Amino acid sequence: MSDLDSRLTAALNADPPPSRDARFRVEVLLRIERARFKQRVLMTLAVAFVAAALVAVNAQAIESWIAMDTSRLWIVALGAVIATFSLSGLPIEALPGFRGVARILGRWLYP
Amino acid sequence: MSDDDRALIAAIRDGSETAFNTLVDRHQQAVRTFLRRLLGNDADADDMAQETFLAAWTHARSFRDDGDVRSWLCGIAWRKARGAQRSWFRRSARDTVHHELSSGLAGGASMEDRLAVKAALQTLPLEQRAAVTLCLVCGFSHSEAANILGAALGTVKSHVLRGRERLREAIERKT
Repeated sequence: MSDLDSRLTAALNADPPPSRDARFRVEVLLRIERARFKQRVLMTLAVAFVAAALVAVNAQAIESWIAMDTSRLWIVALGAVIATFSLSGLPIEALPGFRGVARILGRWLYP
Repeated sequence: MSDDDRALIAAIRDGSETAFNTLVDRHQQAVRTFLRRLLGNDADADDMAQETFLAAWTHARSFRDDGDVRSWLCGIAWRKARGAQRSWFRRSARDTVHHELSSGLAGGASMEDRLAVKAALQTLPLEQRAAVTLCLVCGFSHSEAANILGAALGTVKSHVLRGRERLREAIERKT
């Protein structure tokens, strides 16, 4: 190798990034968390929109269904509570079993 | 690809962050070096390297099991760099050359050589710069670089040959 080649190699390989860089790794993990959060918010908004649309479209049917038996109001209330918690993402974060089922479903739907 | 890397990818597909951390530790230097030479700006390069690893995490399933992890990561980095070329690629490369070189450690090369090579590297066409960086800096073979860049083998060989000549001329002019 000529002197010029060795100088070129040395110049090209000067100032490499560190072989281990915890700060860089943390920055990458932060980006992953941000992406997850963004995805979760978008999913929540989409589900909330669909749920609201379904309720609005079927408002009359729901009302007459409740009117037939007022105790059905409890079922609607329970549904509303579950929907609220689901939309906040709490059960998804709190229950590892739920995540497991979601993962299995995901693999089944998108092998 | 080593069995170790294969196991890492399998674990990442199952959502293991520990495996992902190991992958980042193992390959960040190669990806960052590639992007730093390609973009000519360390901050932008590190930013894009982080985006590269985010994409690797998100699309771990797209990795072919018979492939090489480092090549796969550099391929993602290359596609990101090419995609971003129009938006900010040339923005500040020349402006930051002096600052970054003067703030870095001297290493084995003289400051004049490093300045000349870095400036000359930025004058090369993008694909030629990428080929030169992959083969002369990151240590990939011509065929590996061709796979990463999605280019013909002959094209990559020609890019490396011409690029090396241009860089040698830049050093000679400084001498």
